[in-house]
Amino acid sequence: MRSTLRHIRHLHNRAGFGLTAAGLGQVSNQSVVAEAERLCKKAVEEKPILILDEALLKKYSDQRNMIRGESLKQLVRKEVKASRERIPDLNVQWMDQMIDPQSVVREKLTLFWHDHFSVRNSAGHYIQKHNNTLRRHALGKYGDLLLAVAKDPAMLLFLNNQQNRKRRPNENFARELLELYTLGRGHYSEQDIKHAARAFTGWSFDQFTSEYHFRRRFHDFGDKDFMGHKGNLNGDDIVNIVLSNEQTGRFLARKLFQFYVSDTPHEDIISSLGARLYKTDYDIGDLLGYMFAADWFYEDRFVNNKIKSPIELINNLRVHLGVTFEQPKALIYLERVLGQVLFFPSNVNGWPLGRGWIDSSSLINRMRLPAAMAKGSLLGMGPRDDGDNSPMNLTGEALLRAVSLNLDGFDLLTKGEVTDSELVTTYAEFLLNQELPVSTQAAISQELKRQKDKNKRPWLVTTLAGLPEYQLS
Amino acid sequence: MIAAGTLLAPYFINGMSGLPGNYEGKRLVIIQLSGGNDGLNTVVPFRNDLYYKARPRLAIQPNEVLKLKDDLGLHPAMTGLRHLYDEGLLTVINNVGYPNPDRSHFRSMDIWQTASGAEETWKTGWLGRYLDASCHQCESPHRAIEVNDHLSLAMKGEATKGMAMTNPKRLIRHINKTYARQLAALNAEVAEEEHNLGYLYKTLVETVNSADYISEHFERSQSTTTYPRNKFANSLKTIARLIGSGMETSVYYADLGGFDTHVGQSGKQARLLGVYSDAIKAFITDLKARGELEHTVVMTFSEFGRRVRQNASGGTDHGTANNLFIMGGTARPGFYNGQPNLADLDNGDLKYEIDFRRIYASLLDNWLGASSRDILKKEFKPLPFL
Repeated sequence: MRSTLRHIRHLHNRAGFGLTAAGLGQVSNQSVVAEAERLCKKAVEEKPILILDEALLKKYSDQRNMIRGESLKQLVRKEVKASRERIPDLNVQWMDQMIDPQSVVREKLTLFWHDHFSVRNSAGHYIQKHNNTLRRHALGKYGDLLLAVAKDPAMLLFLNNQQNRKRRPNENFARELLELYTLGRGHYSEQDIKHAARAFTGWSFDQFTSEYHFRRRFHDFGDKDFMGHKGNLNGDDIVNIVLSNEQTGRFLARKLFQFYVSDTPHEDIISSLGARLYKTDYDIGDLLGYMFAADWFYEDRFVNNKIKSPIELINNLRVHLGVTFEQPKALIYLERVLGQVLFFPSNVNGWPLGRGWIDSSSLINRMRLPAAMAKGSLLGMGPRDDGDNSPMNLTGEALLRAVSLNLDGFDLLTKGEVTDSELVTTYAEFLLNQELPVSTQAAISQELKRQKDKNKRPWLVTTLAGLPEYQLS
Repeated sequence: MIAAGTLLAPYFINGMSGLPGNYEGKRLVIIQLSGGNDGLNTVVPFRNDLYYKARPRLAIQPNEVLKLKDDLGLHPAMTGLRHLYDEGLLTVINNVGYPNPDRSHFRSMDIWQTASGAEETWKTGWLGRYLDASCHQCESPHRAIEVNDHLSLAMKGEATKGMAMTNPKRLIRHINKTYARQLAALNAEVAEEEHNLGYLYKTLVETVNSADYISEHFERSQSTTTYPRNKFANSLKTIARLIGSGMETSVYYADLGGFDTHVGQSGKQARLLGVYSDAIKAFITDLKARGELEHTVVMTFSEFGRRVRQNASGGTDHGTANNLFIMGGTARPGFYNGQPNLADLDNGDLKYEIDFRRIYASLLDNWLGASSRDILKKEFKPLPFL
């Protein structure tokens, strides 16, 4: 494969959140395959979020035998309420880790898993623990990730395994395990769900340590009949059985393909990815390395044909335009205005995909955003008021005023004197990873001529970042 | 190809803008009370001891209730709505909900907006699917307008989406702050392409066209009715003006938030119900004066009601079944059914009697003339209130 800057930029757009002009300069002599290897190697490092202690009631652990029943419930309620207030801090910290070049591949993949498992929880402690679990196992074996997620408080609470007991089985987790995390609709029966739910009875966690705790007295030790496997199956057995089904490989491959390659599925590629996952015991790091080195990954049909999610758009703008906010919580305001708030996925299916993000109003908002940020002017929009993410309501758009752009890196893109139209071509190539149609290019050059010298660069950069083309990567 | 230099020149993409509207079809206005409005303190069962027992601090006393019939009356803040009831313009449907109710705001709101069952998550909204079904390739997002900064899931179909805007002037101002108009003109051909860039430009072209269409109609239509001065009333005023302009829009959507009254409910709910009731009175009066009320049905809902019992913080927690209001069109005024049964609760919550999708089915089949079977993806028997 002939390696070009376009490929390098494509790799960074998909594996991470884009590349700064300076970053591009450093790697521009690399082949894209070598660059992919370098990125994947770096992903070995892992930086957990350590804002909160992951045990919600740690400070009370020496009294754990005294606090029971109703007073324990009250204590939990009080601590959850306080913990909720810390969710914005977790959000901002994660956003910063996402654009740190050291951790970008692992962090982007962690975002994929966040969307995949789509857990909501009102306690910041549990959210942090869940998020770190995703991060820790992100590039490992999917089975390890799945079991670790399933045994974390956030998931035990979210899909009610905590309430799943022998006498009254709760099917919520069992159903989503099969439908959303492994096989997908149409590959299991209602009976499979019933029997799987029984296998997960007694799964629970310790309120004081947040660690998984198996409650034997609530577990159903009777025989189950799950997908042709009979016997006294437990939850781990169920997970192993669904992982031994090749359909799980195809299902997961499809989701990874849609996240990293194209909103529209391409069945031939997906089935080869699925087979590879299955053969490698679901080695996610291996699959990523394979995809990023594959010729098809860089085919024209896949470059610049993926609609950015709001998190991708915000982070692209931060990387490309060097956007920094005096008050980091302005990021949360942007997430809310654009409709994707970390830790508050739309529903159990996760966030919308591709075209699902675009309607008349969201497109115009996206197009207005870069210029508004450059001017520190307000968007004049209130985010949607959503009862369930109220801790995020604290961020008002006034936060956006204190914003600065750092466009110094753009100096590196040009050498010597350049004409206005050369500037348009160069910047467009860098920001949009493609050539603009001649007519658009000409119109922008014409308008650029009218800008004062010192305004030229910010005007051009924000105009290009406000194009429909910039909504694609 | 259009020559360079036109970037800043005003440019009309096609001739559809500028034509006067003469839409005479039927319209549906949906008003969403977000946060879960406490239905029991909205339509009050003031002769029911169980109600007073469950809410020693929060119940509305019989002497405060605005009585509508022997056993039911309105919250005292709702004089406007009472006026509409007296005029024979209000239909109340009690005990509306769905099986296995979900008490999460976002989940229950999704269920109401997509019309899915509690066990399913759907990616399209019921009104969006109505748009898909009624005019599959109609490239006019203004066929369904939400007065808001963001478009709700309810308004997003598979192939068609409605559009959101807070008011037409702002919409035009926002568009003019970008190069949307010029880019749409330069890339009209790209907008025909199947790829994602084509979709983005198609959305852009449609947005600019619809914005011009809306704005021109809006300017032509004046408002003589006095509305209260607040954001919600303004939304309704905008909708009335758009309806009065004869625009070819069949669905409007507005919302009023803040009903999540876990703490200190009395004051909060009174204020919100007052805002709702005064604004809706002005709105219905306005539509009537324009001769549009008979062509317009207005439905008001909330994602759930609240628990029957008050909580320890002077509020109520998330509940289930709720009441819902219908006004306008051919709706039969009065109470469609009886008061909720407080003696037969499900774990402290009201049991629903009417699936909300039966109400959607009535609106789709009996009002908009669509096929609810296709749009709701299941057979729901329309409720004969229209």
